[in-house]
Amino acid sequence: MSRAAAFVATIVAVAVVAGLVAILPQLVNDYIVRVVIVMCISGVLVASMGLGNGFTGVFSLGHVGFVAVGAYVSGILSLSQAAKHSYLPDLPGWLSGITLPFLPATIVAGLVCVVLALVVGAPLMRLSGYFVSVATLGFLIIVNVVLINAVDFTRGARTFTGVPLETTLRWAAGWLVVTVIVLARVVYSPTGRRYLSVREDVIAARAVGIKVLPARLSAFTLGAFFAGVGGSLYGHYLGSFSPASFYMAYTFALISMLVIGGMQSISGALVGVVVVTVLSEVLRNLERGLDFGAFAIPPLYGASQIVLGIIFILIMIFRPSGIMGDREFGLGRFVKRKRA
Amino acid sequence: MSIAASDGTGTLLETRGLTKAFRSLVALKNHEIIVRPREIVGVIGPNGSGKSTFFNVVTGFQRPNAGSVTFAGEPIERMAAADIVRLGIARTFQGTRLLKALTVEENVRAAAQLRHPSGMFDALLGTPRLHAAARATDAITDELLDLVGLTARAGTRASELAYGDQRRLELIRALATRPRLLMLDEPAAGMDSTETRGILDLIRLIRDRYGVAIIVVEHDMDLIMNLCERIQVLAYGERIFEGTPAEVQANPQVREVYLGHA
Ligand SMILES: Nc1ncnc2c1ncn2[C@@H]1O[C@H](COP(=O)(O)OP(=O)(O)OP(=O)(O)O)[C@@H](O)[C@H]1O
Ligand SMILES: [Mg+2]
Repeated sequence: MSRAAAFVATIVAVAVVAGLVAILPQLVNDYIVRVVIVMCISGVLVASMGLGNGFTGVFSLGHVGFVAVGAYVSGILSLSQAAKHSYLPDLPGWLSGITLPFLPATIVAGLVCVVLALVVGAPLMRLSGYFVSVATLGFLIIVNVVLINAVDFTRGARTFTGVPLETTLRWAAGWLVVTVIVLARVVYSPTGRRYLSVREDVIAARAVGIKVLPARLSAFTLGAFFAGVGGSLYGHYLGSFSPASFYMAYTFALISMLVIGGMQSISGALVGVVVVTVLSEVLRNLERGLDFGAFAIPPLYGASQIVLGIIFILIMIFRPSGIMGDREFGLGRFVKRKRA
Repeated sequence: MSIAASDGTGTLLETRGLTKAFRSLVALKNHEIIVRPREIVGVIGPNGSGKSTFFNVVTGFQRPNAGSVTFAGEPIERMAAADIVRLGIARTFQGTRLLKALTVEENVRAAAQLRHPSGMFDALLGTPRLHAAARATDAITDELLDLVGLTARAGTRASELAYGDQRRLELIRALATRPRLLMLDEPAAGMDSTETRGILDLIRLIRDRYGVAIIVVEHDMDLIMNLCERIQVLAYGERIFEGTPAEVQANPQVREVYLGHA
């Protein structure tokens, strides 16, 4: 596909998303709008996790560590003066004096994660396979412990609250579009080709002059930026959260979306988010029981988790590289297969 | 016996006292070789004689215990593999090492883009540099795919290629980095005589067209004797002889150590 055609396709895709965002709240109820917002946030997080985990093959379990940092950093930055006085009285002066709007707070959260990723990634991205997974899990644990102990900044294990509820559908969908465009441009470029080469065979990559560490580190860092952004979105969606909100359970939820959708494409990440979110919402509603008048399904609490687990197992058996594998739909496919 | 010596026409690669040991096993011992621009040099020797170890040490995949490697006047024995490629030594591996899940053309592009660098911000902003790099990379890729008749398979996954095509792909991938020295580790292994003949012609064509020097490790004596201008014989990690194909074939020690088996 030519550059002009790609440009037009991008514009059309953005326009379609913008249109949907504008009319969705008129079409469906508030509950569904909230589910869509959460899907957009998850989309930002899962797609950015796929950059490192899927495209460079460095399976990190630390992504949610950056999400946590993003949520707390942006939360602290956007708390009102009154909220800071009542919830975080011991905050250092330079921090307690400032209150940033949503957008700058989110960008700062992303940039803080970039710096953190460079520091953490410099040693960790030298590792491969299981070693890097365990080491990045260590990073997640350290973030959790630091959040719990940095009481002046985070209120410790208690709920961090008072974050303005600013994550509207527009913001969430807007950031998702930005994330997908940025990731697609990078992944289907010479830089992305270095990521894939490093994933496929480290030795072959070095033999054609690709430096492994810089390739992995740049993907890890870009992924961390959007983890920070997504953390800010999530924080401003929840309003209140605690270190426990961003820990093992959330890590596994995001990873299952990535693996089920297929971690070697951006579309896979998005499909995984939609499939897992829709399935769990539908099952959660079903387990409350249904009443069709003539016959009724009694409530079956907990059944949704079991069914979800079985579906995960089946997908992994029949589609081990996820629903999408390394295929993209729409733009990405044309960009990738432009000469096929 | 013609001892390798710099003849003043310029030395591309030179090793001196190059030694590599794995615990107590000395895989390469006091190795010396000189390769001049545009030369085709063969390295032969029985299994385990240190041929691949020589390749690995020169290309930065293994660190030597002692000795020096000089390429185009620069000491490279401590250099990282990726930097050595940039400097101009490309290699293939014994048994292929392709980027298996990627397409044929992506394998070549991954190498070709070395000479046309662009970074993440070029990709994000769509800079002129990105587009120039993409055009140049595509041009090299098209040319090399055509050279080995893989144009029609450009979009095929590398892992789905027939064995011979995989070897040819790895060869042009190495060439795509625009090397001054190409090191081929058993390029004809597992090929029948017709295919081997094709590889011989291809290697010669590559030297003539691109002006690279080539070091070939091969067990196929026909290929080595017909292709190489000079041959070095290794045994137990040591250079035991070096000379023209005729000299190698006439040497009794070489016959005993190596050719005797054939
Ligand atoms: N990474 C390694 N660790 C330990 N020993 C090694 C290693 N690589 C090579 N060797 C040993 O070093 C010796 C030389 O191996 P090398 O691969 O260089 O031989 P070769 O001449 O390429 O043989 P072949 O013709 O079988 O490819 C062999 O005895 C081999 O077992
Ligand atoms: Mg060998």
